[in-house]
Amino acid sequence: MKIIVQNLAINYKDEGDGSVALFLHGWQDNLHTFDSLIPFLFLKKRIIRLDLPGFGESDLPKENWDLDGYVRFIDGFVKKLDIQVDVLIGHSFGGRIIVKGVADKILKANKIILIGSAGIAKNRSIRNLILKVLAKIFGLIMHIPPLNFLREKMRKKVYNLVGSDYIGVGPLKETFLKIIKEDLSESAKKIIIPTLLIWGKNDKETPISDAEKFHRLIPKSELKIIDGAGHFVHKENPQKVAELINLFV
Amino acid sequence: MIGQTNINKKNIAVIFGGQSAEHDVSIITAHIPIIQSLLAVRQFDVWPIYIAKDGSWYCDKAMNELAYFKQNNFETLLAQQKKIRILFDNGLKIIWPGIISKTVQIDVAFPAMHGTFGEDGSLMGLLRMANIPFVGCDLFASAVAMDKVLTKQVVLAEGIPVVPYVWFTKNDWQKNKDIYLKKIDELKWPLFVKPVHLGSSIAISKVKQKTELENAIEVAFHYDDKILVEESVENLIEVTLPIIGNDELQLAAIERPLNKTDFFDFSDKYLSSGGKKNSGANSHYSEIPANIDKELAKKVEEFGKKTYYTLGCSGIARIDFLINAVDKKVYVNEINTLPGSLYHHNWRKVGVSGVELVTKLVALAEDNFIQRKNINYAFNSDILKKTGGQKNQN
Repeated sequence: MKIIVQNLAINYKDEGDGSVALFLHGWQDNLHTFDSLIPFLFLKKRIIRLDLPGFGESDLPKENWDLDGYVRFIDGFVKKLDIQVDVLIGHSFGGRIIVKGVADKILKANKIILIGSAGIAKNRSIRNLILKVLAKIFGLIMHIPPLNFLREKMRKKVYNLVGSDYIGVGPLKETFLKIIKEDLSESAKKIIIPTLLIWGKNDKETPISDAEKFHRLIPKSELKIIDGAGHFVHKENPQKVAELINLFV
Repeated sequence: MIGQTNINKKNIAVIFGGQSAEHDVSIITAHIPIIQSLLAVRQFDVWPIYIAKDGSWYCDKAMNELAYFKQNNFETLLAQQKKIRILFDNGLKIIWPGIISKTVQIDVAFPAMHGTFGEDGSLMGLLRMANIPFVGCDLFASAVAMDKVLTKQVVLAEGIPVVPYVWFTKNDWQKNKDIYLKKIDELKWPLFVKPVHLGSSIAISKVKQKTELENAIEVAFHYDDKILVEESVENLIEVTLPIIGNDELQLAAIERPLNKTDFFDFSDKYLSSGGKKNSGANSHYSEIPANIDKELAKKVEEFGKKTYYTLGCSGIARIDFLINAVDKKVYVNEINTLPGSLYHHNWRKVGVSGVELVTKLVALAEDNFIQRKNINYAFNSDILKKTGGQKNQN
């Protein structure tokens, strides 16, 4: 189903009846990320999921958004559907939107659930500075023929090596850079509603240390760690994640 | 790398991509089955002409592989490609500019572009002016078929039944919303809201309640300036009939998409390949031939042929029908002048392989071209001489 929000055609799914649970997916993901989780949710809820702008079957934002752009968009989506959100549930980048939006009092909910949420900036300033200098030198060298033919291949290898999501972000490159800059530690402190943090123990993208930090910063939070699961814990162990959600809401 | 020319083979240009919502589907159609089959025949030198989303034209034989478009660094690779120039001056020529430029004269064009600028007749107009044979429907049939309202108006005038509908433009809606809401209210609910020019099911909404109507209209207007709201058919059986031919028509099997959802949406149509990789259009969710009674099948075939003829289709088209299983009424829904992946899965079922289908379409294009050549478009006139020129000011 589609709806127009801020002049963008947005793909979304609206299932069930009751108070609203709004699900936000992660970066370069789409609403189907929650497909295996939904059947285990025994909630008397209206479950709404959407493809965030630039992902899935939704339009690409017309300019480069920052995190506030996505927060304002979710606010617009909620208003357009004319709904009151009871529970906000976000994975990774979706969690980042929720933390910022709820802290700034733009997004409203009675409870929030953050699954492997992003938002804690990595303390990698020296590492990043070195990488930046190396990238510049590397970039210049790789423009010299015949090395220029190998440029793309090498670039990909290097980015994989340092564990960056940067490759493949395509037209959202600038948006991605704007978003990852922001550390949400201060925002997390402002969240005063009950918050459930669900993390996979082996999460490499947003490690357990991020979860622990969120747990320390958000006063009414509880942290549940699932063994044997990584960043996509809701897909790897949907039954367990659903059980935690069912208990919490 | 651009590719080597082969002087013993006919140069055929497969044109795909384009600035339409169906850009990616077009890439699939071009490769499966068109390029794949043309290469298998070994009679053609295949030149893939790819029109990027920004409207730039490229041609490189590396693009004969579907895998080229699936690479992660596709955008970077494309940026490194040299854009081509096209000459339409009595023949179609591809030119790779540069210090040592290269030119290839195309013998036949195979349009594989869905939607706007391709399937809507725009590309056919260019190919007509270039004066070369091209596969599929001509400009006129393509343009009418691309407009769902025009199609309904044309076929209805020939006595072919269509579902009751209301149509309006964005301007109409903004100025006279109440009038159109009233007209819509007279239709039998639930309703479908559709952009008029979009080929795929993108942006089509099924509306069951009045509260959903205006949102659905807004979505449709996001994609088009003209939309239609039509009744849905009760006890619905949806079927489609692929047809090839110019004057003598050959029918494929009547196919029934077995929808999982309320209607056959974009992903059902193109993405669920029924577990069979690369089969293109939906096969798993289709029943071929459709299990409908003989009387209905006869009506579908009769209306199919009549619609094909009325619109002046040539080469290939697919006619979609809506059937009320209870009152046995058959309605023509829309005409698709470039069926996704040529509906080769259906043709295979009636014994026409991908290779046979594609070579047959090229032969039909050449026949059509000969016929077109025999029509006299120019005649002598002395109108210019008789018309007074600018008066001498001296």
